[in-house]
Amino acid sequence: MKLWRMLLLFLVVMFMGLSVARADAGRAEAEKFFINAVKAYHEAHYTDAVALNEAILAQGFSSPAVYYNLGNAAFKSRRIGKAILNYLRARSLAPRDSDIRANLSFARTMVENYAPVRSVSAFAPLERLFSGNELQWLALSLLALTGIFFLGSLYAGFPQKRVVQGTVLLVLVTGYFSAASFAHTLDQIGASVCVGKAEARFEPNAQATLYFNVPEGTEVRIHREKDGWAKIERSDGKSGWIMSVLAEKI
Amino acid sequence: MRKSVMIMLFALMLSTAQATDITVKATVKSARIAFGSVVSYTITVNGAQDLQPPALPPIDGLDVRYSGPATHVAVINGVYSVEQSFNYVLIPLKKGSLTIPPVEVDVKGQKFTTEAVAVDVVTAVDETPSVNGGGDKVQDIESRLKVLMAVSKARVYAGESVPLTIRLYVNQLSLQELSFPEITHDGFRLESFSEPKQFQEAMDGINWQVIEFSTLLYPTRAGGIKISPAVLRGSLLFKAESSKDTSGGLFDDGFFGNFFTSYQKRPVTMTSNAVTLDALPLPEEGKPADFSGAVGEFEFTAEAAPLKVKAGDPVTLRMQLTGVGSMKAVTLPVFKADGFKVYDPQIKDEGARKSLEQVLIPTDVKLSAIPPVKFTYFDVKSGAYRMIERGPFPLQVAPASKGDEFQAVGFSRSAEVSVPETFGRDIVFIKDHPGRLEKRADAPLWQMAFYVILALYLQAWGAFLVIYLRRRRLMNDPRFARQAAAAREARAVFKAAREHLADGNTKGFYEVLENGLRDYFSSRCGLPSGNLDILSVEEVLRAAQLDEKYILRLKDIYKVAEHARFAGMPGGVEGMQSHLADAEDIVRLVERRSR
Repeated sequence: MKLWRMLLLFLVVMFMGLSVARADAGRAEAEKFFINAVKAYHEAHYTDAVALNEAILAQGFSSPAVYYNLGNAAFKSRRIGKAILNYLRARSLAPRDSDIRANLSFARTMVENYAPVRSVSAFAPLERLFSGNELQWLALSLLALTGIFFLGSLYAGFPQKRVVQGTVLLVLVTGYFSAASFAHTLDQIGASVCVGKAEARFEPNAQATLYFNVPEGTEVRIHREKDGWAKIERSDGKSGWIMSVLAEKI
Repeated sequence: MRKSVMIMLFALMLSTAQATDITVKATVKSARIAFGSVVSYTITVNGAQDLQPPALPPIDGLDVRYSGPATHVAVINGVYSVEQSFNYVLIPLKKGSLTIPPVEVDVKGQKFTTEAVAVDVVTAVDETPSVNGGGDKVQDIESRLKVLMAVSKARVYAGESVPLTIRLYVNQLSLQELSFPEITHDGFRLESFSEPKQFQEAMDGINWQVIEFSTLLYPTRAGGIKISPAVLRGSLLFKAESSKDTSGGLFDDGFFGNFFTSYQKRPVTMTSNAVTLDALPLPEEGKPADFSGAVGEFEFTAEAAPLKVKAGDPVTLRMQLTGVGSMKAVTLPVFKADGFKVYDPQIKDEGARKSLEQVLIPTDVKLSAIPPVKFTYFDVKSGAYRMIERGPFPLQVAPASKGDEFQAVGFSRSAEVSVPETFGRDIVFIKDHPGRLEKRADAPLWQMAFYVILALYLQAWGAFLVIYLRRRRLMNDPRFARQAAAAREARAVFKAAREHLADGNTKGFYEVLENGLRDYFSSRCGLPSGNLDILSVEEVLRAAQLDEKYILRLKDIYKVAEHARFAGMPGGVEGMQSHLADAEDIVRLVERRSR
């Protein structure tokens, strides 16, 4: 019985070793693509830079810098929709990066009929500071801190009033962070960018009545998808159907 | 030792099993595809890995794009096999029977060659027929895209504005990410293209989707001007062939069909025709000395305000030019005259309108008017030079009040004229380091791990809280503490009784059993053990709705125990075993009822 366990352990270790080796090899290749993409951008071959950055993503690797550079190359290739999409992806990973925020802000001004929407969410300050993963970690850490404080205070025999005050305060802070994390997750669902100029129609077919135009780079939310069409909602609440390929999820 | 040998044998088995024959084959996902779709082409190398992707030669009628490798490792019945495949996307550029030639693959120095693969590119089933069936006439992508460039006039004056139109005709293709036309400038200047218009047009019996770009062109010299072909870039969207059998099946309905459909993009560059212009030189005859190069048809207006001022007060002179012509090339007259301090003008160029604003400060009270301003241009309609004069503007200049002269803008040495600084705008430069490249699939796993950690943490917290509350109650509630300890103490009693039973100590056995049961019920009911006789216990058991037979058995235990204490052993070892079992059953039942 113990021998089988050892064999199983050996196989698991071997499999993990192979996986790690393959991942490292893939990462090295992705880094080469990145260097070539930077070089292509320097030489003003923006279309090549777009393709090389997309090759990194096709290999399953990503980083804020990859999305950011892809956004820049797309911007220089006059593909505003693709640029905004990738700046938003970069911002979701690195929300404190001022370069990403500056370029996103500038690219948005290039969108036809762009009207800036000021976030009224109570969690907007946190979302500007932390990524989704960071918010989850913070919520989890605060939850642990609350538990440790509460139970530790009880076991240590602190005055009950102090324990209640401290716990309530920590629970409120934890609740705020947890709600922000949850709101961020909900906010990501269906968030998309139009990567081409689209026409929103009342029904999901090309013969349906045209409702409104969706300029390239417009940030929309996808609610439904059907037969190659996506039901989108733009920031003013108007909804219509556009071809799915014209809206890419963030 | 035995384990080590087994592991080594296993490893050896793996290594020997891997040394199999190497085979190389090429396959396409579907040998018959619709024009406008793409097909996957795969070269599979069985028995080797860590290979470089083979380079495919140019294939007539097919555009090849490498889409990445895949490695498959399997251990079946102890036999280790590895397979590496290289995937390519082929985009048909024309219809008909196309052949992918044999491809040479280098496997660790050994050369292998794949078989040639044939692909039939056929007309798409859903291809919309054109006006008179012209769809079949159009066989390849090049003939489905057409760019035509035209100018509204072929003979113009140098500097005159000429409307330029570039029309992109698209037939039965899905085109995306279209760039604005690029034209090499030589001998002319081009304004930015406006937003393109889209409409449909029938031409040569085919319905075309037309995208029209318009702008204005200005010849910068006289003579023949060749406008080089305009280049447009975009991406064609091709439907990727799914692996499902097209003859029908579970996944052949609309829902699954669309669910599994994916698209491939192929960059495409389109070039228009060239256009030639004949630019006439502007006549030298009658050319005014102040002619600044404005060519077109213009309206010029000018006004000054206020016209009643004190010496040292500012007067604003505004000029506006509207009309047809190159506003960028036009220079508006800048005011200069004696008796005025003049500031640099602010000029605004707003497409078909250009305006100039200039601040003048009269310094002489004798001034009675602002001199006229003149604008000269070449009128393309009449083919002659024209001059428009506006003014003079009557002006009354009063002497400045004492002290005011030092407050006038421009006269104070300490006051600086602040001109708003204009900043350029563009994107921030790219990053030179990729940072940590993370596997993109990690995100959902982290989401799952987060919720698992959260659930475990909440459970642990709940457990600690329960333990704390129980511990506090045990400390503060003696009755609860006794009840909690009752079962444990009863188990200790039964253990002691079992030892007496093994020694054959009847008296000790019953003494331990009777006292133990009394203490147990005393703890369980929260009563003093001295006051607890069989009648009190019986009451408690009845209240707990215990079966009558257990009450009788307990009474029997008490009775026999009393007997044994004073008169010796009545029932032998079997009797003691039976009483011990009864006592254990009763305690177990009471514990169960009390939960």
